[in-house]
Amino acid sequence: MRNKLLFGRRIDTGSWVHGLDPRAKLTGMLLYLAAIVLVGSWRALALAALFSLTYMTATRIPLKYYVKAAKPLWALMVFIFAVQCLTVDRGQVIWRLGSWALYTGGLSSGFIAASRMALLVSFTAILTFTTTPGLLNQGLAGVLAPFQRIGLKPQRLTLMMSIALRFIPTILEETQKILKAQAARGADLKELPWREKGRMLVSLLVPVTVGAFRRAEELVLSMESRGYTIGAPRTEYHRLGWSRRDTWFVLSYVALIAAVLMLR
Amino acid sequence: MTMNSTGLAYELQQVSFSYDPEHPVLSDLSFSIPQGSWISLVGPNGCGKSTLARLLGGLLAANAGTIIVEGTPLLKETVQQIRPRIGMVFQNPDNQFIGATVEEDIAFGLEGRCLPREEMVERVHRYAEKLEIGHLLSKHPSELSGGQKQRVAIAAILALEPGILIFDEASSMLDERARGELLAILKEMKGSGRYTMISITHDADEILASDRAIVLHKGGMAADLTPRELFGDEALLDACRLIAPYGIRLLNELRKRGIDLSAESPKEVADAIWPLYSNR
Amino acid sequence: MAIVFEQVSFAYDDRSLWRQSALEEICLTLEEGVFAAVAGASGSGKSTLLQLFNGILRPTGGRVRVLDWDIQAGEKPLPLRHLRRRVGLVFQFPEQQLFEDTVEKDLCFGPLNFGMTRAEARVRASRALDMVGLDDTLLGRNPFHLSGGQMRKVAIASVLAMDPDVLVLDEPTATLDPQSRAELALLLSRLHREQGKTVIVVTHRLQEMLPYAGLWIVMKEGRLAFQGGAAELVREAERLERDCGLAVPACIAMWNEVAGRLGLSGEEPCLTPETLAERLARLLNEPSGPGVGHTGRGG
Repeated sequence: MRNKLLFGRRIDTGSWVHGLDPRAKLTGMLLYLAAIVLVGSWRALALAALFSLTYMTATRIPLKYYVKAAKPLWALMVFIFAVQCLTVDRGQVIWRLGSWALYTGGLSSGFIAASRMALLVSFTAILTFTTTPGLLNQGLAGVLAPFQRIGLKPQRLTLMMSIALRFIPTILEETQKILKAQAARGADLKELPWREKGRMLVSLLVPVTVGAFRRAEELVLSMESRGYTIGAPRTEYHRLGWSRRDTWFVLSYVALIAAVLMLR
Repeated sequence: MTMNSTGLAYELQQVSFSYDPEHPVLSDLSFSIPQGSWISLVGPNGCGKSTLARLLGGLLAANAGTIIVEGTPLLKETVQQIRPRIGMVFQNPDNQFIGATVEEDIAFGLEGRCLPREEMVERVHRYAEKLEIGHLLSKHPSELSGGQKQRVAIAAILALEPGILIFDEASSMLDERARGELLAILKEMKGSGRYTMISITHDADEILASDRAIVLHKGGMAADLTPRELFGDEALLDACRLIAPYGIRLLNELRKRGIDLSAESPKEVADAIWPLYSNR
Repeated sequence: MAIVFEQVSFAYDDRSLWRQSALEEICLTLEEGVFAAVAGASGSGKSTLLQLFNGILRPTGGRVRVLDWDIQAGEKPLPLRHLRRRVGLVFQFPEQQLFEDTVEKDLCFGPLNFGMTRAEARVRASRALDMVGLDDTLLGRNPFHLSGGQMRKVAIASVLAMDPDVLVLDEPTATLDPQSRAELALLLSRLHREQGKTVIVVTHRLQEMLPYAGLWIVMKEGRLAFQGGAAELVREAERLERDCGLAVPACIAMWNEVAGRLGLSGEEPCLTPETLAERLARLLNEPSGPGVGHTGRGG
């Protein structure tokens, strides 16, 4: 069986991070996001990296999986790096090309910005690798519960999210297959001239859309036949239990933010 | 099984259905299904089998006529009360996998029943063991074969403890081995006596294992007979686009050549042929 | 020689941490004009194997020779578009690849991609439709309004319209009703016999292709586990069932049981009810003579 997509997949190693309350993990993730945004110096970056690495190691999931999770976004990281290099004009000039020059400041802030992105993505993977989507949803519903008062319906939102997460890999796989089938009929995206690619896109989009609708219809039937009614009360299979460990976990992020602020 | 006074799981009286009045999908169907029996719904594609399955499952409402489920008429007011008695398994193993893991998928329906957590956990494990997927509980659907996914679908349905089960071409996307395994599961369920089963199928072995075949043709009922009667009627088989099981076809061919056997399995046929051969 | 595999291996995500081997060291020769069937448990590499036939996948080890093309692992990829015209590949559930609003447009898609004129493509479309046993009245219809069996045939015709020399199909009969399955199998054998096409079919219902396939290939965990004719397949059925997870159909089980008991094992197997009944009738009508003695286990 081929599983190219790691996103949204739990990797069970039974570590203590796996056992944390998903609400704690989600809160931690938000705080980490804040910390990453605040990182502005090399020392702060090193601290955040060390912090991530500690938790990644604690999950007992091989680090290569985190690298893999960040890999699809390398182009974005290169882009962020390049933008910083092109625009920042602090520090000493390293290289001059016509009116533009590469400064040490550009290089370092480019590096910091790209690393922040990499850290963020790999670290988000901690959440998805250690938590089943069901738990994650329930956690999200928990975190969003206070917003119920302003008319938000967390359960509907999280159901939508979980179904999207569940079917995105399936639909991508189907797209791959249709791409191959059309290539077998002479419409190879790689080998066609540009003006033909447009037509090719139609031959891809129509079947993929039809397929997605068919899946959606069958999914609805299946949910209905298992008694699902929108808005009806439901009990929850996963029990969320907040323990002292969860509190410490969240507090560690507060400490990270404080440290990052001091190192600015 | 809870018995109602009639002993019938279904009673259909002049049921018709159409999406638009010009093209009736089902017209004037009347039949009944006793509790605890296993019915095959057969017919060519487009004869309205799947539509009928949805009507029986309470997922669609009939335009005319009455469907009585275990003594209660299926109406807008009663559908929420009747639907929990009915479980459905569909054709595509992927598209009925709602959860992100086997465990979550089996639990999905139970959550909707608002069962306490202890009972959900107990049922998830009990039915997973029953379908021999207990070791797969934490797996994502992409890690499972088609046959395993159909087992999950059945476990998820059985965990809701319905009295009526509808299989809508549940084995048609499986490979031969998984199809054989699914048939064994159905036979065991039938053997337990706890379920009324309706399977929509083209599969000769599955039809043969059932008690009765209801044949639909162009939205109407063409026949209601035993599987053996069906497999003996070549005109009807052609109309349903079916082919009889190999054993039955062999017996028919032998009979045409003046050899009368009553056995079907390879061993039985060999056993029956042997005395004819050695005594000729 | 239509297709030659020399120690061909294939791995998804080769040269990465996530390498997944799908085929290992396959050596295979398929003569031009053969009707071959590929069987094996799910996940044994059947579908991957098919995709190497027309260069949709390129080997990560070894060498694939198809018609005039020579594809070696590690070499700079050549454009393979024209190989795809000559080796038509029909994926599983091909009706899911249809996208045009008329059958004719969908049938012309392939021929036009390969540079034919619209007029030529139309001729090809109509001829392909005829080959799958459908008539020209369907040309103007919307493919999405056809029945499942018709859609499947149209999708197969959309590959036939390119007039390939080799036709490769991945479980073409899956989910069809029994008579449509039998018709489709017969249709493939007609393309093989009458048009001289090389046909390669993946199937998990051996009984469907047994009357037609001259060569059988059984895969197990990415390797070739068996290669031979139908008679050999029947003889080795028990081993293949045990070792390779092959589902042995009733026709083979019946023949092996009956032939074993009556001492017919050395004969060409009779795998249809008609041929077997005929053989048994002949046997029961002939006077008893030698041959009874070495059946041994009867009684």
